[in-house]
Amino acid sequence: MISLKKKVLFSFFLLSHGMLCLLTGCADQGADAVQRQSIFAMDTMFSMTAVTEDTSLLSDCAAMLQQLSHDLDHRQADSLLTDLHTKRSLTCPDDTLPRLLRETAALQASYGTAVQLTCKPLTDLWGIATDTPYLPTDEEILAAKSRINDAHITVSGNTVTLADGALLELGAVAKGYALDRLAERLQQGNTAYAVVSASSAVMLYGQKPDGTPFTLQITDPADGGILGTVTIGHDSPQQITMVGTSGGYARYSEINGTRYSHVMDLETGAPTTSDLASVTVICQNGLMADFLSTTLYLGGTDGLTSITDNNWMYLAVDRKGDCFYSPQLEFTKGTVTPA
Amino acid sequence: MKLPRLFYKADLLILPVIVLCAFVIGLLPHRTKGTVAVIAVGGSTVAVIDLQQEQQALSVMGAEGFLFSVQNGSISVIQSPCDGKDCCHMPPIAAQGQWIFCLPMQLSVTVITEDQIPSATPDAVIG
Repeated sequence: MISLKKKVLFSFFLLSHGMLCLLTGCADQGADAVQRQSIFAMDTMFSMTAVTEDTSLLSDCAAMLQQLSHDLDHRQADSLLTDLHTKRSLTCPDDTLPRLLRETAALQASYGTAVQLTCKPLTDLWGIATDTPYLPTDEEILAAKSRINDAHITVSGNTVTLADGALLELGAVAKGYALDRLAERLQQGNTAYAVVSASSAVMLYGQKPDGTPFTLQITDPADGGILGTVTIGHDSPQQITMVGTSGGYARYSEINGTRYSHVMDLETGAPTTSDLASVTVICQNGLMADFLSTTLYLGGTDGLTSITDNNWMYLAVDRKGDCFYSPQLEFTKGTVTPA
Repeated sequence: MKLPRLFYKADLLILPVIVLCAFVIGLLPHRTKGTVAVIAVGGSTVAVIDLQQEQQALSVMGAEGFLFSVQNGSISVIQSPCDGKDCCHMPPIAAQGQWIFCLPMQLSVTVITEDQIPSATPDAVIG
């Protein structure tokens, strides 16, 4: 027969084991910690928030952004892009640049060539949003325009070749592309939730801890206030929403009293005179959001519905403050007062 | 050799009691440290304060006349426009669910964790 002492000891064992299981369960639930990190890259502050068990996730993302910012910047003397501009044909160490070029070419095939990556001669000529903006002559504009044609870019594997004096300016799609690359790292890190905000490009990843939809405030191009709020719900834990905004209100130059947008109309060879003040595109791909927001912005109000399909939604505001948006977009105009 | 019986019928009665005790003890409220403080006036949130960023005398738009101190992950009211100043005499709060209330000015300070931040606070601003 088992003694009373042994029974008491066994009871304590059961009790402590039960407690241990409960406490371990609590610890597991709390293991996903909120991480935050900010980094200045691509002339913008990237603010990153993530809920994940992967403790190196955001530091890895920051390192990726630094590398992308360096590689894709034509102003850096030792960047990949500068190397390509010098050598005219370059086998890249990885698929970062070739992939960006291929994905952009695919979008151009579907949505047109209003955005071209070979626009550098024109942006350099005008110098909008730099310290030395310049009003060029018609002859200078024509000369610059003659070098703009993305057909002059050839990508074969990881080898990129530029023909006919083509020079690349990737600002129109670089931030969105960077978000796409970060999304891949988030997926590897088993991320439950993340928000990466880079001024005109935002990534919403996964599902919020409280289960509510994401809310995204759209800046009013008229005064920098809040135009309204877009609500975005995710049905699955790894769903991704990418958002890109284009407009001429944040980056511009004044020459002889006239304000010129930094977004170039490649048809005219001059800064756009679009009747839109800003366009925001919401979709599942960052590069696509950047590309389409600029394409729609350049097309003006008349072009808003010309390329619409079910892969993305848009929100546009014209210079008078009138809003136009996809019927399926959950948009509330005005500031939402916190609950 | 006959092995001794581990349990007798009466012993089985104690098992549910042990399991019940384990659950009750496990469900006792744990004081989780909060990460942010929500400041509300008249029931409307006017600010969400990060408790990791120390601030000696923090003023908040929408809660004019108040000053808050954020130290060591806790927050306290150090100046108030109310008459009684009871809120200024409350000890600093740091644990999730703790609060300071100023009845005359209808101001509340509540410590929560980041996943409890009211959803009306935008997740991002673009443009």
